[in-house]
Amino acid sequence: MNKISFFFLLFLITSISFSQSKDVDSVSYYLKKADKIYGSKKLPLLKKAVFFADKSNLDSLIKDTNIKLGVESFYNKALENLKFSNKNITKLYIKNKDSSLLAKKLHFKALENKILLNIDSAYFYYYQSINISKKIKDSLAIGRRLLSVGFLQKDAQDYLGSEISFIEALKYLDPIKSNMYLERVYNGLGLVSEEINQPKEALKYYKKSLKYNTINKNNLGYLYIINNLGLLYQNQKDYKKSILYFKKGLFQDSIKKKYFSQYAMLLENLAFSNYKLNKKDSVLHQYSHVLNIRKKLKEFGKLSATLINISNYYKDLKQNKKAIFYSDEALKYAKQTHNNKKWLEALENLSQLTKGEKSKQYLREYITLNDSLFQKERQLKNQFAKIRYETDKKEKENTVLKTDNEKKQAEIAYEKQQKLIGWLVAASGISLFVLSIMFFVQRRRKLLFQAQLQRVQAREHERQQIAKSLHDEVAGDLRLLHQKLEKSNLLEEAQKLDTVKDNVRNLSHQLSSVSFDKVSFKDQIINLVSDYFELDFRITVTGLQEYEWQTINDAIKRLLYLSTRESIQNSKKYAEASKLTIDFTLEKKYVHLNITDNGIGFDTNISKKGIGLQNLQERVEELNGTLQIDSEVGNGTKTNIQIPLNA
Amino acid sequence: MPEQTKILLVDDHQLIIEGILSFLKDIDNLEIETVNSCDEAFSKIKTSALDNPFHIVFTDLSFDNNNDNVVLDGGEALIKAIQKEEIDIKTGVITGHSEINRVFNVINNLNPSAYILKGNCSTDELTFAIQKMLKGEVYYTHEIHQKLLKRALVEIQMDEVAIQILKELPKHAKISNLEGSVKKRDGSLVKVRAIESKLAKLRTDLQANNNTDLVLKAKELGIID
Repeated sequence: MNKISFFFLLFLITSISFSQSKDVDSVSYYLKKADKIYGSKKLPLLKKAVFFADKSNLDSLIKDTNIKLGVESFYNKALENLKFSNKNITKLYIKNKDSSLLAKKLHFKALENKILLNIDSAYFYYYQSINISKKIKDSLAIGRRLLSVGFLQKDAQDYLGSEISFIEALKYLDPIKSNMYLERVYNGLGLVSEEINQPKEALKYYKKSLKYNTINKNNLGYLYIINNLGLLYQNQKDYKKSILYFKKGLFQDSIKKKYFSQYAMLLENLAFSNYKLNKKDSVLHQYSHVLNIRKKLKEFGKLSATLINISNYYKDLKQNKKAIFYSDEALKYAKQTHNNKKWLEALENLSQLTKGEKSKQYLREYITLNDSLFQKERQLKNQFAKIRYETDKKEKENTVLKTDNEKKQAEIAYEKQQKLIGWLVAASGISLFVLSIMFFVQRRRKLLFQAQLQRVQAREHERQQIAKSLHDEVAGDLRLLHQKLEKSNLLEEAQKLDTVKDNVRNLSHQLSSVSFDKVSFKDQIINLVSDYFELDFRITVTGLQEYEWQTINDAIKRLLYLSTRESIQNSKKYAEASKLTIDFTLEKKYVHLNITDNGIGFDTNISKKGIGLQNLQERVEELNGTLQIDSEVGNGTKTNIQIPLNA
Repeated sequence: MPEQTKILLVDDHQLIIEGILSFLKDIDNLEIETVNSCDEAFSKIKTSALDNPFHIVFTDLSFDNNNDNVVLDGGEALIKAIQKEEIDIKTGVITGHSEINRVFNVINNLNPSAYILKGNCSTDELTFAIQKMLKGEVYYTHEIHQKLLKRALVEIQMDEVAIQILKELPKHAKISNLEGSVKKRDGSLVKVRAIESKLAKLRTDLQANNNTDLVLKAKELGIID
């Protein structure tokens, strides 16, 4: 079972990873294919790439393909595709909260509105996108969006705003040396400067743009700049110079193949310059060529401009009928494509070319349109300013909020810190309290133990004194009496006195405390043992030689000594033992004394402890030790004493 | 033996001094002086050392010192002072102290020429002791002797190396052959020189004349089987 599930898992993993790599391959295949194609034909391929990217589940791939699709959709005004890709990007943003995705989403939203000609909304979303990009410090995105904004403003004839946007774009693009977009920004600046009547500035900007263009080797861009330069001279009425530039563009390699629309644009402008120079023979031919191209490319907005040009041409030749026809056509396309400039021009032409009521009609239409356009422009400009102001305000509010938040957060953090400090202080206080209690308990115990030891010592001292006077005074006097009695031949009395003397001496012995100043503990134990050692009462001592007894407290050693003595005496007196083993064990915290004899033993349940053992028990307890006696009738006696070394 | 043996008797109990004197009066050629304190004794020994020195000093061990200005407070201190000044005099202890600790302490540290117990001393014993002391030999009362022997026995029993040596000794013709068969507690071997010095100590402790005697005595005392 396990094996099967294992193989299944293996299969699953390999198939997943295999299909994933397959999907990645498909994506790159479609992207490459799309790269080789121009215009709206790219879109289905890109959509396929998006589909496989989605299948591969690789976030970076999904992001890249959708952005590509979105951008191409915008260029081809495919609103649905753009919305589709933006939906995917939004989904991805919700999934992994990548701010660059949010910026892109807002950018695409701006593009959608741009297609829908909601210029103010587009402007709004551009600014939103820019703000996000600013937060994540994405200079390229900021620069690119500003570039778009600049063109948007220029088209809405907000030239001042446009110039500001372009200059701001430079601020972001220059440091990152984004030559591609710098070229476009300078181009845009040239266009704006031209509009605000600063031809010298415009020329400077175009030259700069050209400089970047040569670096970028951007052929298409070159055509635009050259065209703009030509137009600049054309507007300056330097037609000859303008023709020079237009021709420069027209003689570009393979322009007819690759850049048909731009070819038409250049050709049209060239025709206009020629027309102005009165080289009218080729003009009409060129215009009709342009007209064909525009129709073929379905560039109806531009088509209206060409139609106006043709109309003007006929108007000059006083062929009013033809002029009216072309103006009518132009009006139709201008209306259709919202090319307001050409719409106005067409109306103006028509009003001039017609007479009477018809002319008045066109004129009225012209005035209404012009007024409304003027109003619209103003509105738009105001709108731009408003949006910019509001976003700025919002940004400021945001920063205020941010600082407020930061302040609040800092306050919270401070409070938290204070709380933590409080807790720590409390905890350390408690632990200190506990520690001090423990310390005092320990100290008290130690002091108690020490007091105990002192008491023991004092008692021993007293005993010593009594023993000394017994020995020196009583026994000495008895000795003298004994000698006198002996000399007086009172032998019986002398003998009795001798026993009394012996008894007194024994008593003195027993009382005399043990001190280890003169003779070491080890020697004293040996002495003690040798005092009782007989050939029929053999005592073996173990563990005595191994340890350093100097470090052990005298009270403990005294207790060990007395215990040994008591046990030996008991064994010898009552147990009828012939062998006795004394074992000392010194550990880190305890000292053990085990004394074993082979005597008759006794029943520990019945027998009361003798006075000697009772005394011993008390002495052991005084030092917090334990005394244990194990015995059985016929099986000897085991005495086990354990004394703690420190309190 | 000099014609006159000069003896100093030191005891704080006049009656004891009289008692001992009563034993000594039966011995010939003795010139006896007595003092009641160790300080007196020491100054007497020192002052007479040059022209008419004492040959023997007998002292008690415990003294009742009523005076606070006492320098030498007992027999042990007196013997120590004499040894420190390297005065040529034999020291003997006549005391009631037969507790093994006191005995062991005095004999081990001070090496007196005699240790006699007041309780059962006699003219005969004192005569014998004085003769031995003047010959440069040592006399301990029988009771003390027995105690020392027993003590040695106990100590030997605890000494694993000594027991090994005593056990191995009969198995080898030469002492040098013992090397390798005697081990210390940590497993290292005991060298021949150490074995020999140990044997010498055992012989004195058990009062054996030679190694054969030593083994016999050890068996007799039950140290080895």
